[in-house]
Amino acid sequence: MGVLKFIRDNYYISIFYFFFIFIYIFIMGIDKKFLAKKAPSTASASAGARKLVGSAGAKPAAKATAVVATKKPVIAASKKSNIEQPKKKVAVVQQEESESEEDDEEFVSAEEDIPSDEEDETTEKNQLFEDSDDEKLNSNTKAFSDSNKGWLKPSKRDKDGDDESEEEEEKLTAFEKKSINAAKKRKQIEEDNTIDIQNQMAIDREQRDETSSEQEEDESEEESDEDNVLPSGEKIEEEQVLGVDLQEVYQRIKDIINTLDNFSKERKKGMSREDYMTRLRDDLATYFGYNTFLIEVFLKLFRVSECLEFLEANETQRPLTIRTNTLKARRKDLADALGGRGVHLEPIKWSPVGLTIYDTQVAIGATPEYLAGHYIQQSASSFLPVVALEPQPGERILDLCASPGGKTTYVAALMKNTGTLVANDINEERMRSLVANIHRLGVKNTIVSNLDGREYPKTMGGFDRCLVDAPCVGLGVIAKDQQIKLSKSQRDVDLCVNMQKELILHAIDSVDAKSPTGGIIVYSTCSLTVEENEGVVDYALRNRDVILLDTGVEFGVQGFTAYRHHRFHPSVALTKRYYPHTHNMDGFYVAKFKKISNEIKTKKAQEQENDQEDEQDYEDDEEEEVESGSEDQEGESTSSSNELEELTPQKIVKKQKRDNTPKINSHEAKIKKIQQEKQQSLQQKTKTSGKNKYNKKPTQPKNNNKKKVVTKK
Amino acid sequence: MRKLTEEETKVFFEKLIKFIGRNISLLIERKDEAHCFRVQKNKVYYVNEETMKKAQSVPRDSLQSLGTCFGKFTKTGKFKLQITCLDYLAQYAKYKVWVKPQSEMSWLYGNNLLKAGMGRITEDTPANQGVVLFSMNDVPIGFGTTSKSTQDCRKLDPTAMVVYHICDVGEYLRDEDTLF
Repeated sequence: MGVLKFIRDNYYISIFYFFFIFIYIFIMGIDKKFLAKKAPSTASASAGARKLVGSAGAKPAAKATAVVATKKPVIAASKKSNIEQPKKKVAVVQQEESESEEDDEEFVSAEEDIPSDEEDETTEKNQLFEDSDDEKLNSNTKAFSDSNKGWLKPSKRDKDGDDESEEEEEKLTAFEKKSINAAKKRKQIEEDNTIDIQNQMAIDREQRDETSSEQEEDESEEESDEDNVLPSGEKIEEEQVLGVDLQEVYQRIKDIINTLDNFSKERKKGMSREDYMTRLRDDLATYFGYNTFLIEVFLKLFRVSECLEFLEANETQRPLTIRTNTLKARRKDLADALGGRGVHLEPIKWSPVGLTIYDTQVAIGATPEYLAGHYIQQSASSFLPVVALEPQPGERILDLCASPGGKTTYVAALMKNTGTLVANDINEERMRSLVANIHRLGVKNTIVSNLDGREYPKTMGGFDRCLVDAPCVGLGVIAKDQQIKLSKSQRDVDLCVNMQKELILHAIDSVDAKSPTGGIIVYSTCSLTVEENEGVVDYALRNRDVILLDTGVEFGVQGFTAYRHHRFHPSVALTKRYYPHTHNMDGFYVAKFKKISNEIKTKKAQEQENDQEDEQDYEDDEEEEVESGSEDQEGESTSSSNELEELTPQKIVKKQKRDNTPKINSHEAKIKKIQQEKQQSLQQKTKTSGKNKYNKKPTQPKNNNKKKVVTKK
Repeated sequence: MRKLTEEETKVFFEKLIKFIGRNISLLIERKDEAHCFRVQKNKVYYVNEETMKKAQSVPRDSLQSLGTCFGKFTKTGKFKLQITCLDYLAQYAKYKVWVKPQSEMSWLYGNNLLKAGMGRITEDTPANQGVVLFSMNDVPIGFGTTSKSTQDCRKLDPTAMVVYHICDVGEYLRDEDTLF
């Protein structure tokens, strides 16, 4: 009422006041944004100041962090530095307040006990409202009885909602300071108008209520041992508008990870793991600059703490490595020559041709040795598929996705420039670097073709070995190309997976299983998603008669056999994964196949297989018995009826399941089985024992005769 | 991909003989593996026959390279040797020039070789003779044409040009876009 009266009485003056207030808010807002952007530390300082207004601030805050420090000294230290900075500001603000508002002195002293911690604030709404009520009772609305409390709650809530828009919430300090100043001036101009001042103070108090409620939250968090690391909704909104304080976000990431690692103990009541994960995801995305899809992918792939390590590893470059071209030079000579040019290097232990460059005074891509083709700049991870491929002199080898030629030239070097190497790449732009590298390194046995990889084996087939370094989303090489962080989506993954599946089938078809020395296919990607790696390998296992071999590289993490809802063939464990944070090389995936026969499974047979694999779990023993009986019959008869044919694979797999046959068979055992199989098919399919049978085998002889395409050399 | 016509063969071999002389016969009739020259998109490739046969199944438009590229025919029918053939030239070269380490980089940037930068030269090198240049530790770094014979070189002052630049390995970097 006082305000209204004042406005009515001094219309122009009040307009001037409001205008002044508005300008002040605006200036403070800009100031704060600028600070937040310019220097995170100062931003955090101002943020600290904002939250500590009205409280004693620095001292209790230090106390609070000291409590934390017993647990996490490093974190506490960082917090202290954050909090100590705002000291002065807080003190200044406090002075102003105490001058202007008599009532507030009580208020401040009351609050002095309350520790505050800027990192720890969450929405505890109940507390928030209770606190605000208490203060109202203390300072202004002493007339209210306890029974009014209940009535006051909703009104406070309304005030929160209505009076303060999002922006005002963000600029609490600004608004407070402004209001305090305004109050001062009013005092000076019209000393007798006390009602008005009281009103103003009431507004102040309400705002202070909020800060104090935040502090109250902080306090409660201290009690629950700092496990409330999730920020409030307000805070999130604030970050959206003001920009984030990266230090703060990083701290929060650490805290959430700590909480998640010890979830049952540290969690806050009512917060599910999902809440924490969502927050963590958003924070990681903010801090490292990824889109949320990629963060989700990584969070599914790694434990949370490992995920953080991985993301941090992506911020630093991998060591520069070169590969000696053994066609032209020896590693020792090269190391000496480069050492003479002021290059600090060291041999890679696991590779006979690799060198790691630690420090160089000359451009490593422009030394006379480089131009003479004595080495090529190549990441350590891309040695791996070639090591797995084990090219032999005199073979025919296909490199399906060859550019820019690092792996191709390595293959050629291992072949000692004999035999034939076909290097293919679809991209015409990348052709130049491929051809240039091949010529510079003195590779003479190569045919370079610019075709879609899927043109093979139509163009050429019957290779001894094939290397597929499939195009991929590139999640392993984020350190090299930061654009990946934001540009990739599920759609990109799907597109790549599609391409990869086609390529690997074509690669397998291009290889001749009867090759005396080879029959090897190596599949590699520089990506990390399971869809692109294990998924594709499993797809190949289902669709072609291939088995997985050990890659021949000693280190590396074994591939997933189970990932979320996916269940892959157990032998997928033989494939290898490489991560930036564990192996200090680009993220990579290598799988090595051995082709067993040239048969291709038809869609129909495969569908059946898949179907009954799904159904397996629901089958009864009884059914199995019945069917195994019928299988016997079928085995004896040489019938060609579709019905029986379709039933066969199902039964056998069921039987196999019942027998609990070990699924990973050694290569030799497999070949034996195939031979057995063939004999059996020749003997007009006499009874199949059904034991120790790889689930795909039984269908082959039959289909072989009827509908399967056989690739011929 | 096709064989060289008679005209082309003549032009090409003339050029090659400037550098390797009679050793060209060693290139054509190799004892280890039968090799041949083939033209693909105006470029001449030197490749062993087995690889060549396999390359026949690749569509002509998509065939980017096979074996080693020796150079290309210009529109006017002349032949231009490219740096990619350096390995073979170095292997069969009749006349060689060794370059001092301090002049090496200058040569790699495409400059002519001065007397000061010449470390060694084959005896009896005539003037205007194709020579292959080596660094002092026997790494081939390009080829060019002599301006003076060995005898004359001895009398020259250090700033005089000795070898005119034709190709150097620096072209792998400088001309990657046009070379391939």
